[in-house]
Amino acid sequence: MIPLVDLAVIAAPVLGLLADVWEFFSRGPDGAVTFGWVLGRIIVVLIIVHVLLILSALMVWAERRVSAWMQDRLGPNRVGPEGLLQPLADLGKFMFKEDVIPGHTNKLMYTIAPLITVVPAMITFAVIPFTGTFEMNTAGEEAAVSWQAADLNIGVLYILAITGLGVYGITLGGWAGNSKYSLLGGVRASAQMISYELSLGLAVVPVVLICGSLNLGEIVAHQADSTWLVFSQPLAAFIFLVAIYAETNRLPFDMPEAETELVAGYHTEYSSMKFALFFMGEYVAMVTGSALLVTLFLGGWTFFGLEQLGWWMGLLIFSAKVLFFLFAFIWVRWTIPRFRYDQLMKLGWVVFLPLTLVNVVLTAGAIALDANWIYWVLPLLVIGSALGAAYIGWKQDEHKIKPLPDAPGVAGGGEEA
Amino acid sequence: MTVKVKLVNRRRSTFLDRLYFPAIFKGLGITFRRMFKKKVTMQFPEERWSVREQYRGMPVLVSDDEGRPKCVACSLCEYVCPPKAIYIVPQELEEGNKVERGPAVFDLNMLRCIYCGLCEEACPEEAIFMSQNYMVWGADRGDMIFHKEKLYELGGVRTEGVKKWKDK
Amino acid sequence: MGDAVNTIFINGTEYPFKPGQTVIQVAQENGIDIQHYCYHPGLSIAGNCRICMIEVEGNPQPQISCKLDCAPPPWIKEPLRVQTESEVAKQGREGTMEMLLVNHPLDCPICDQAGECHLQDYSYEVGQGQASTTTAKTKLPKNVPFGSKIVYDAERCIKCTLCVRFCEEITETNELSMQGRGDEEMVVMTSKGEFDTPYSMNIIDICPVGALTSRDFRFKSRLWFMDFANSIDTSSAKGVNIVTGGRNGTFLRIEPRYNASINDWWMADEGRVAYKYVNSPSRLETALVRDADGQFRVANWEDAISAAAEALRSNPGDILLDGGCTLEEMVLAKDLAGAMGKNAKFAAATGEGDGWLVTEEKGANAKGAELLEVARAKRAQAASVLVIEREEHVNASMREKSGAVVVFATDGEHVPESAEVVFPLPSWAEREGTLVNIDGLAQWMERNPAIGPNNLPVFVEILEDLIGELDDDYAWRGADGVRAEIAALPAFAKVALPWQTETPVGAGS
Repeated sequence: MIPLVDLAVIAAPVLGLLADVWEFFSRGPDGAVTFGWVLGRIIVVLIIVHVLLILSALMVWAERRVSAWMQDRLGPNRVGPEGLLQPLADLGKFMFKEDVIPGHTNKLMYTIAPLITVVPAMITFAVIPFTGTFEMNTAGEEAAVSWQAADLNIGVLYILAITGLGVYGITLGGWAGNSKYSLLGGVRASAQMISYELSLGLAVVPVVLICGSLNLGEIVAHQADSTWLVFSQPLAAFIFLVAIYAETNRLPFDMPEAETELVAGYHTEYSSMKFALFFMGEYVAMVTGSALLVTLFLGGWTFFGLEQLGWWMGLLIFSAKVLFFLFAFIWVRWTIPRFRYDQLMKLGWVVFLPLTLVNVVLTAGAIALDANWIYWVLPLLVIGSALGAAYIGWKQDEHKIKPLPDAPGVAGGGEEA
Repeated sequence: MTVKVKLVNRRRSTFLDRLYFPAIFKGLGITFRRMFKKKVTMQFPEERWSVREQYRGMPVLVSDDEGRPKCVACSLCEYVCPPKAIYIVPQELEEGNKVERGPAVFDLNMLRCIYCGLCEEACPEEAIFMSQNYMVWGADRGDMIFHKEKLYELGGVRTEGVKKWKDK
Repeated sequence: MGDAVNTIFINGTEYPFKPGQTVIQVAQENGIDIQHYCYHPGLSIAGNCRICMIEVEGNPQPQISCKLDCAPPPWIKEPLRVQTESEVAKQGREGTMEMLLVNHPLDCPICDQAGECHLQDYSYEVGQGQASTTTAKTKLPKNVPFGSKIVYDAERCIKCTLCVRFCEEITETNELSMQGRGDEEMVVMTSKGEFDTPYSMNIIDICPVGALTSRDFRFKSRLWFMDFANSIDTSSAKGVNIVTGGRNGTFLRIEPRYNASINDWWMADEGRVAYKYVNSPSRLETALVRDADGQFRVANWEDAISAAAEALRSNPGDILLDGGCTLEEMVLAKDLAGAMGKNAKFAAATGEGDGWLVTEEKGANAKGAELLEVARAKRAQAASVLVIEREEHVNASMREKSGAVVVFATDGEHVPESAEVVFPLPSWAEREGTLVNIDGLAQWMERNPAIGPNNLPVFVEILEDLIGELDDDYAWRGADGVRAEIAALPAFAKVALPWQTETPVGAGS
């Protein structure tokens, strides 16, 4: 029996989104629908979907190779050149494995949970501008076709809304699995998402304030005109980065699937392609998160004028930036150990949330006082206040750390004995 | 005797420690450098492990320098084998062979073998040896029972050792 | 002669002896083991192996105990004092052992005697481990056939002449003789060709080494894999004591066992090969019940027993037993027949006898049946239950003409057309029980667990279950209860039953 409330919670945003998308497609850039324009959209959408899927598959390979290198191993290198076809072999295995649906699960929720995970992760990419436009001649009409599936003017809101949906898949999967491990994984996921969704949203607010637009294309354009927002908003960029790690359940924040604690977390009960969908959802979310970070803070497809060589150059620049952050995902995973759950919560609520709030206030104040301040005064002010807060915190904690009692006969205690 | 106590006090964390960033970047640096170090993985089928002389691999049967199978089916290995991996059916060999007796069936069940080497130790004819072969495989359970012909093929010729039947 | 010495000191203890006894005989009687090859209590004393050396006090040379009379020379009035484990005796044995091994090929790995070889045993006890000689060993013929049953290996032979003496003294046929001298000496057949007298294979048993081995048992199995049981030969009614040897369900060998009152150390070749049918590939292993289509179907014991009872209820008749059935089985068969209101009979073949260990009567328990008043069936006749172990007893015409519905058989080939329910019958080597030989001597037959198919039911229990199915008032007695009944029968008043006496009658080493 599916609670109707749950169904409504899922259905409302999805239906709203579909209505928006339909409305958008039926208009076109100049208010008229042309055949060429529609064809261009469809081609772009197909390319995006396939690139995302292939990239997420390659990420699995890359993760295994890179982690192997970091551990003096070789990693998968048998299937195809350098093991590049390993994802294909894995796919074959996933396809032909028995698809077990345990008898104690809620069948409907169990089945749709992987879809809810993977679909939002993919459709977030629709609004990301990954290069400039190119001219296309169709039926005698010259049209500037954007390399963007949907040039939404509320792109940032769309992204925040859709990424928020992703957690439903994980929570539902954990709940539908009807086992204590997957339930714990699902509960952790929802709590973690709520905590970091706040910081994520608040980290984007200064970007919107500075650029004055919710359209991602315009945000990129603004950065190309002035400077990358990572320089004027370093704290927001950093918090956004960390929040993306938490949103995608990557180490050091992989609490929902902490294999040392919860077997496999929310997907404990899943097998075959359903499990693969969860897996894919995680990697697609990584790609999307990297792309968002690049778009919002690192100038998107621009690189100090180099992008003007052509749309392909923009694509290259964008890909390079995204690939670096994808590598960083792997790099961090095999470097930093997992947080304890209370540490994770503390970091989200006690550190990031106040910092982002202060950042928003300071940024708003700076814009109101003098727009030029945002390039020099604001970053220094923000980082300074963050360091100051950290120093106060350290001073307070210092009293709590009790030095060890002196051992009898040993005078004092060296700094490092 | 006095016990020497070395008291190690906990180092107070500094402000930089509490910021965590130096440690994080240090760690990232370590893992990054590690990526370019020499790898220890052995590419098995192409690269092979070179075993020591005393390595005890799969037991095999050997022939003498005249190419004659050395085993006379005395069944001592069958008797001594702790997991009962060996099964022998003796037969009488025809006139012209130097020995009257040899195995009609010599089955070595490599699913059971525990590589203890007792068969080699018990053999009065020095006909069974622990080879250096560690690549024992089979596609099914039947494949893992090695028959006489296969065992002689794996064992090859050994010239040293006892030649009791040389002049018979 | 009143003051004649009649005691001997062996290792310092005084033992009495009878005139004419040698030291080794007195020692053996008193449990002192002296190594020996050429000495055999059933044969004349040759004294040529020299391994039984002992020290006689006052004599610097060791003496052979097998030929040394316990009585001292008449001019000595003191008893002899001998030492079996003294330094002199040991040195004598060690020297002899080394000499015997000078030309021994040491081919124990291919020798069937390995495991029961005196040369191995004594070499283990007194062998040097290292030869003093370095010359090459003499090459002599190996694998020489002595008739069709025996294989002779001259290299292994230690020239003890036991086999020659057996042919001279026991069978008095003189087929064997020694030929040559020194290290070229060997046993040869005096007659060209056959050496197939009915008792020839006894020389295999008495040969202390692997020089004489059986063609039948050749390379079948190593002895240490086999299980042995003391049993009784059922190929004739003499009740020859034997040892059955088997491995993994296969019956491999029969050897005689000493029994002074029946067979001494010997048995006929006929009995040695009487095991072959036990290894038949068509041995029955499961109960079979004929279903509606007329086809035999494998059934579990409970179903088979109730089906058999059903068949017997609708078709009551006599029971025809194999002449080799034990007393216990015959008593229960009589009860089964009684439950149907009929009689139990037995059938046994007769053949040629030789007046010694092969009798004309072939039913091993024919005398027992007589004592139990089980009548003998001489011709084919109607019966509803058949017990067929050896097909020559309940022969083909008896089987086919009986119209039996319930059949106990060892071999599936022997089951007649009319059978409705077939039970597998364990062979005699797989059953235990009491047999009465033709001279009225009751003997116990042991079961050898290493022979026969796995999980065969106990015949006695199946019989009891069948009686219980037919007779509601039947009180289960078990084999022990049946034995108590047999002991109480007046016909057995004068028969010493083996389970009543502490040591079985006539049982020896």
